[in-house]
Amino acid sequence: MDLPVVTYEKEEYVETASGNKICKKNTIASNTIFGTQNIIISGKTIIQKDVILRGDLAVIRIGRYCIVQRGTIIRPSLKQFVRKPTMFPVTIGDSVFVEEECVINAAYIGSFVHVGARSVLGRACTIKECCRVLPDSVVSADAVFPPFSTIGGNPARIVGQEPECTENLMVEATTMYYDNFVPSNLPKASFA
Amino acid sequence: MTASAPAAEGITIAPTAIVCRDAILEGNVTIGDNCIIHPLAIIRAKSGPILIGANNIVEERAIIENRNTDGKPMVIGDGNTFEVQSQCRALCIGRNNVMGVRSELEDGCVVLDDCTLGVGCRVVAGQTLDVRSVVFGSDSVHRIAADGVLANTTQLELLRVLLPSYHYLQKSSTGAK
Amino acid sequence: MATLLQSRLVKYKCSCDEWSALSDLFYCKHCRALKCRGCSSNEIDMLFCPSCLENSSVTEARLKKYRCMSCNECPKCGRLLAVRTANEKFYLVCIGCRWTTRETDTPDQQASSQWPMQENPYEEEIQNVIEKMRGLANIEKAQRDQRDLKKRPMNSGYRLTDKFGLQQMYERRRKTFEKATVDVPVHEPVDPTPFSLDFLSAKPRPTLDQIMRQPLAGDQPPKPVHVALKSRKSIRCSCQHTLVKLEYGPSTIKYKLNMFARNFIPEVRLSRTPNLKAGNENWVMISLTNHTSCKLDLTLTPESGEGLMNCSTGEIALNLPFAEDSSDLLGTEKRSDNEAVVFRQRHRVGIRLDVSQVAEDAPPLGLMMNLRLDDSFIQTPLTKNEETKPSDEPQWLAIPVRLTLQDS
Repeated sequence: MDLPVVTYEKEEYVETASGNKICKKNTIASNTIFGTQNIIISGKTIIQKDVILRGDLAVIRIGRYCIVQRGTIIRPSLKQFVRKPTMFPVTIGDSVFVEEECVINAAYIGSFVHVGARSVLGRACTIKECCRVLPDSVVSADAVFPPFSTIGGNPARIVGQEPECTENLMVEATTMYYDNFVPSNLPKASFA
Repeated sequence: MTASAPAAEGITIAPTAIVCRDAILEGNVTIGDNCIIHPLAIIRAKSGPILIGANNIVEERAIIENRNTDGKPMVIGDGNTFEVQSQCRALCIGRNNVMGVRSELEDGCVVLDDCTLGVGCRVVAGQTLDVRSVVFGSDSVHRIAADGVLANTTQLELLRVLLPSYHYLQKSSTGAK
Repeated sequence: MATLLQSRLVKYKCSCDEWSALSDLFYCKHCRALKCRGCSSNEIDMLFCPSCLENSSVTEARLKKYRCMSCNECPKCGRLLAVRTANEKFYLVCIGCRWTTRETDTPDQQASSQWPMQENPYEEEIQNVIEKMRGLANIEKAQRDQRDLKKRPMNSGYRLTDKFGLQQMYERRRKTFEKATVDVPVHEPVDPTPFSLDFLSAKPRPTLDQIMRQPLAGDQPPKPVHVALKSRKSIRCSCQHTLVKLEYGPSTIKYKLNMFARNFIPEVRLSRTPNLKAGNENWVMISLTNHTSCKLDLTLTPESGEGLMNCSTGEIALNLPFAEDSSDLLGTEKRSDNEAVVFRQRHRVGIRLDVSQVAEDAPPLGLMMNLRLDDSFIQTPLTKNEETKPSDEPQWLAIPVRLTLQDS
């Protein structure tokens, strides 16, 4: 199914020069994005309502054409090195679709990953490219998942294999979502 | 950005505690030494006071709510960590516990020392968790661990350095600055 | 993504008469047909550990019983174990259930990667029996060789220089006359059978998951379990040509060879959720997308047959440019569109199909796609001989498509 047109109120979103669309008017608090100088978003990414980005703890890097849906929390976690404990930065690749209400403490989410709704990615876990995390799954801390795995359950395990063309599918889905994410007061496109 | 603003009435915050201005504190709340309350944490002393001990960490969107029908205070000990979106409506919590992400402590339950609640686990109303219990898994399985929990002192030290440079803080409405 | 775009609603018919979504299909240039996982063969490309992403060859893996030596799993809950140090020794801790190796009898180890595995208590006996069987097999082979080597000539000269290999033959025949003895210990029947009723006792039993993770544990305290290796597959068509092969490296997503069907066949997708009511005058919007790197010439014919939706739209002839096609920017190409074509956007075309539905639940919608095969679809043979001259007639590939309109 083609992705439907999703509209947003123009006043609620900020559109940056690189094409990022970030929600500035949230329902849970006036400001949910902290430490903006440590948050690097590459371009054409959508950050929807009530998303909490804790850039004050460590650097958060998000790639291009990512979509972070409503209510998600992206927060760097503690890395227990012996000499000097630090907050481990969160790196999210390109074309990553993060659904609603997720809690992401992961250290690395590869490109072309689809994270299902309400899933919890534990501290310092690594999800490699082209994976899919099923909704309501709980990925334990420090877990590593190889590419093309379907991850589900609590504790999360590899429950399946993703199709080989996942990269192409995710690129298509995320670009289509971005193209269809338009302000509500624009004249409607003829058929999109 | 170390400007601090006085908190609302009835909230007592120890001078060494770091409470972000974006944290939501309501009612009669007492926060002990060296505590760290992240922004968007919710501490609601609805029907009775909440007394939080020293060295606790309350992360964002965690809810600590006192809904005791008889107005009894909720007493939280030292060294606990309330992770993201955890809900605590317990009667009394001991020391060095870790409440995992999205865990739920229902009304009237009692948690002793050194316990760990896993992600999404819940402790039903009226239940008591023994010392060093671990609740984990999707079915909230219980077991007793042999080792104690690692203290959260490293995290506390790190956060004490990081948070004040990015957030406005709340200080106690009564007492010293 | 398959779930985001719901590509499971549209199924294509493979050359083996099975219906699969486009993301699960591949195209073989030599056979000029679609292939699915069922009709192609998978072969193991590489074995690797899912947690440390270290690859190992097949022989190495077989020696280690297809387990990773450095990664361990908690026997209680299956999570990965973390290594902690204490007094220069290592012990393993599970983060989820806080089980530690200190609860077992094994002491803390010096090296974190050599954790002792669960031993099979009957390991020695099994090895002895296997050795005895090997001995028996040697005896049988000797008897067979005796029969075969009898036919060869035997010269007891040529001891020093084994010029013609006769010394070897002599030695071999001599060995067959040595009597090899095998003494297999006889297992006496034990009466009564040693079957204990322990399971009725009150001590905590391991769960089924825990038993399956560590079948050799028995009643002993469980030990950490080595993580099982995972394999990566490459796909080969029945004509022995490889269709899909990843690059070397366990964490790569790049392909050496990727003959995905979506690189050759346009993708049919439901454009909007169809609003179907019993009776006439419903329509279904589909979109056709060209993901390939060349222009596609195809005709789409709705099929109305048994078990399929009645569709009154006729045959639609389409010319789909590819995504980066700039030839039509100049406006030189005039396209006379069918009235069923609702919109065009670079490499996408929206089509409205008029359907009528008699029953309450909607049957699937059937389409027949006829694709003209040009040079990029066909593997031209390297040597041109008389028989394989490329014909002048354009070749067409017929692909039946089924769309599920109602999620039942």
